[in-house]
Amino acid sequence: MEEILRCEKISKVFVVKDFLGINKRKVKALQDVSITLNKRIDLGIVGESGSGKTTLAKVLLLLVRPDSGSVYYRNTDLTSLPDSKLRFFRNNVRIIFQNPYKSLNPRLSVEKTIKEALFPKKTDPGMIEEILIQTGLPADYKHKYPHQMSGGERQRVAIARAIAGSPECIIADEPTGNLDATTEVHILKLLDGLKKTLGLTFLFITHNLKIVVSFCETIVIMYRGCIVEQASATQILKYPLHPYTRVLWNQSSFINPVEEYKDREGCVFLFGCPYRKKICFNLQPELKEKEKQHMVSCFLYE
Amino acid sequence: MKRLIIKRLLQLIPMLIGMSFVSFIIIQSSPGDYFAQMKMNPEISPETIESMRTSFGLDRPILVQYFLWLKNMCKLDFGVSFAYHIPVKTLIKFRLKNTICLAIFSLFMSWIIAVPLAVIAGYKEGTFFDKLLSMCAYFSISLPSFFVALLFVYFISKTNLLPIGGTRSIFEVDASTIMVFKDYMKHLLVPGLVLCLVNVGGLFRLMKNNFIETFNTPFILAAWARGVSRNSVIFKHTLRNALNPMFTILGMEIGSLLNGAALTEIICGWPGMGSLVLEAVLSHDLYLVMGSLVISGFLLVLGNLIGDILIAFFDPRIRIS
Amino acid sequence: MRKLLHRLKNHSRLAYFSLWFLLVFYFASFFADILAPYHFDHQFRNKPYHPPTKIHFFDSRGHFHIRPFVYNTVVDDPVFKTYREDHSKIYPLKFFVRGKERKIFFFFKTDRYLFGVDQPAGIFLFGTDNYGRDIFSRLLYGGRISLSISLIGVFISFSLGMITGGIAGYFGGIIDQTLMRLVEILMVFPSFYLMLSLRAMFPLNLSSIQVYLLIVLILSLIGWAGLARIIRGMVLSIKEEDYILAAKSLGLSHWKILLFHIFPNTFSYSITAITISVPGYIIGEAALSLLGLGIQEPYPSWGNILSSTIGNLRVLGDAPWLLLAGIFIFVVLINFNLLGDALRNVLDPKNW
Ligand SMILES: Nc1ncnc2c1ncn2[C@@H]1O[C@H](COP(=O)(O)OP(=O)(O)OP(=O)(O)O)[C@@H](O)[C@H]1O
Ligand code: SF4
Ligand SMILES: [Mg+2]
Repeated sequence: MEEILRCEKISKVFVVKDFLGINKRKVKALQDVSITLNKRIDLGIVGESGSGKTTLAKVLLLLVRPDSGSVYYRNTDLTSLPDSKLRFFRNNVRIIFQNPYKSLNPRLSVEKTIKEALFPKKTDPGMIEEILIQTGLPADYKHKYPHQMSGGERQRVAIARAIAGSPECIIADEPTGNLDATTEVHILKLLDGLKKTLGLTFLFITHNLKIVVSFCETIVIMYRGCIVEQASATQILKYPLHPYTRVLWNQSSFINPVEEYKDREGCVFLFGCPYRKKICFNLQPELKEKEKQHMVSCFLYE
Repeated sequence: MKRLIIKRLLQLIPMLIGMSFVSFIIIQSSPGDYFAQMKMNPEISPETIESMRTSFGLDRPILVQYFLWLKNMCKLDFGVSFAYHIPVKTLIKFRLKNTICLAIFSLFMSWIIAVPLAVIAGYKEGTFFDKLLSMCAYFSISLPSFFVALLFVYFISKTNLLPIGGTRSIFEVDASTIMVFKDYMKHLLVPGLVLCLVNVGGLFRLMKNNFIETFNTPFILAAWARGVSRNSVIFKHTLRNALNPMFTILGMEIGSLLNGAALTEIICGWPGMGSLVLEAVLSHDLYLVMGSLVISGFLLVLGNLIGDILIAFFDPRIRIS
Repeated sequence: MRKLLHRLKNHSRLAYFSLWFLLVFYFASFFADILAPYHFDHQFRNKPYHPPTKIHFFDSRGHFHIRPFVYNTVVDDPVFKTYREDHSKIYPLKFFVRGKERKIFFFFKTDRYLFGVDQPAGIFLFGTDNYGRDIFSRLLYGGRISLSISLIGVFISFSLGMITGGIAGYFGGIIDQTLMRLVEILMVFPSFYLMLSLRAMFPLNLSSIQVYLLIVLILSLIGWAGLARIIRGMVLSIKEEDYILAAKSLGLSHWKILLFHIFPNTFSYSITAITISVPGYIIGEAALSLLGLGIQEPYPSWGNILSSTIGNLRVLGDAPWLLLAGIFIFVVLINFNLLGDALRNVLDPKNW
């Protein structure tokens, strides 16, 4: 297995101020997160809103610097490098953002948007049209501006921008999160096709477990900034271990009480967990290998 | 609340130091060696020069001079005016009083006029009355203060309705306090009205926007729905909430008020800080310029502070925490 | 740009009119050399404080003339400066008259002006000042100075504000802290006091070109701080947008991101800010010149045309037409305000 991207023990805390800047609140967006992305093995990250998925994606790309922990790209430590030295990495790992209404610069035409992302910079004239057609858009769309396109079309432009650097890996942060069901299917098909034709590796972020199981080989489940379970798609499908994963699979069987965000002791899933034990109130369980290639963080299995 | 005030007060300190430094630099970089000039001036006594020299360190390095000046300023000693040969402090004290009276008078007048009109216009939004007032507001905003002042001066020169220039026209020794006060107010009326006219439009527009915004919030609709009377909705619920953001304006307005006041003072002959600083600049009276600059900056800072405290005081979210 | 104009027109006819009005105003003062009947320092020595000339269609015997005409005037009372029309000869109003050669912007020369009358009669649309100079002509020429100072001043402070605000907002940290403290300190002073104090840094008697540059310098120094602060705030919010992160994830350099992604998105605000800050510069120049610290005689500016009225009640009482300069300023300001307000509404993304 050829390792592309790896992060180790990433933590990120956001300090949120109130409107006068007097009272501060800390949000632990990521706590000791470690993942590895291997070539040709797509990794899916699943979690509910606010679980830190987007933050993880941004940290992996060094768009947000982590408070602690390191990110490695092909065994080079990126966290020690300044932004200006990250060029080679930026062309090889690209991102598709969650919200196509926000991720395109409203003042740039499609052509300019893609041109900026091209790598190598000097390319033959038909390149942009080619890329557009690859993403299922007509070639004359290059003259359009973001506000003249639908959400699905914008997301295709965002995808075009991502593949324009001929990357080996794409981080897709809920690429269909803001789209309707039919468009979602089209976009997923497109991504799947590109994966095969361009030989891409995906890090696929979503809140929908069902999509990711069919799209990815390995799956990571996150909850409130922690990885609670990590296994292959089949294992997650057949033998989900963590109580939260089971909730995700069958949400109607059990109503997950919403806990207001607070910095507190104990397991992150404590309040939603029907199996909680005494120890769960005091400690956060570590992520341990329960079975072969199946990691879980829960005291039930210790 | 207390924490907020303390925090703001602490923030003031670097601000004031920076401000004094900038004032000092501006004046220091003006051309000519004013200390030498001062010595040449036969009207300034050698004692004055000697005392200024020691207390301001006029022959020492510039940084030393700055700190000496800062030290003296903390004791409210701004040095001696070259033109008037009296301490700058005395001059400023007299002029500052007049400027503050003028500012408060016109501020009071413009609020008294703007707020009720804004409430009516906001309540009757879109009617002819509202449009008329909005147009008037545009006029008020676009009128330069010196132009209005000149118009008033012209009008008064034709009609002699009100006294203009200076602060008093009664010079009898035995004039009673009330008479002197009345006389003072009469003189204040022209510059006060000029300033009020220039400021009232902006205030009106802000207040009207606030009123309309508050008037359309759900909790006001809820009050209507509950069957609260019209007057109560307008005055008790909407007006009170619409006034809150105005206090920020109050702080910021001090700045524009001082600017407008300066020109108005000069044209109407009102002996305030504005005319003082002009005289000082024209006669190259550097310590006077420096003192006026610092004081005017201080007034603005003070205005912002008062605005902040008022907001905090009227906003329950801050007052209670 | 065309679309913007169209939207502006749909939003508010009045503001659209203001835009054209301002353009005409700028145009008129730009071509003052052709439009003004007299040169700005042309003196009618025997006609100081002359009231606006009456333009007649009927002569003293009641005959109608298609071409409007004026009468020559003679001094009636030399102390109170009253004038009497001399009905013996009529001086018809002529268009494209020939006169003394004037230079237009150092390159072109013209000896024809839009309109005029034969000497010794004069056509003073707005009267004359204490030297017998035509105020209308001086207002046109003065507009050239007052309006250009404001535009150059806005341009300089806007560039300064854009650069400092952009850098402070984008890079944050210590750079941001230092720049913003500097800005705050500048903003602590009421601008009038700061303006006069800055003027005090320089000798009172400077050449006219030096004064011109000095005013531009002072006004932009005072103006940039506020703009820098606002632009910093905008950059601060824009840089958190996903499309900026996206640009960063492509490996673009900081400068490219600032130049091509952040600044263009402050554009709509910038247009509005420029429009509503021009009046401040016009007033600033007028105030300085009015107080005798700005543009010096014989060069006209909207401020110094009024300066003879300061501290002298009689002048204003005798020659109220001097106030027309104030009306010029007022008209320009109100149009800028109308336009700025409409632009703010039109360019606000909420109203798209
Ligand atoms: N720039 C920021 N400043 C402050 N807090 C932030 C910031 N970005 C994220 N957070 C907080 O960090 C937590 C994780 O946010 P994140 O965007 O990573 O969630 P997510 O899993 O992507 O959710 P979603 O599915 O809604 O996109 C949230 O509680 C959020 O409020
Ligand atoms: S550690 Fe305890 S609370 Fe947390 S998921 Fe496991 S059983 Fe539930
Ligand atoms: Mg997200």
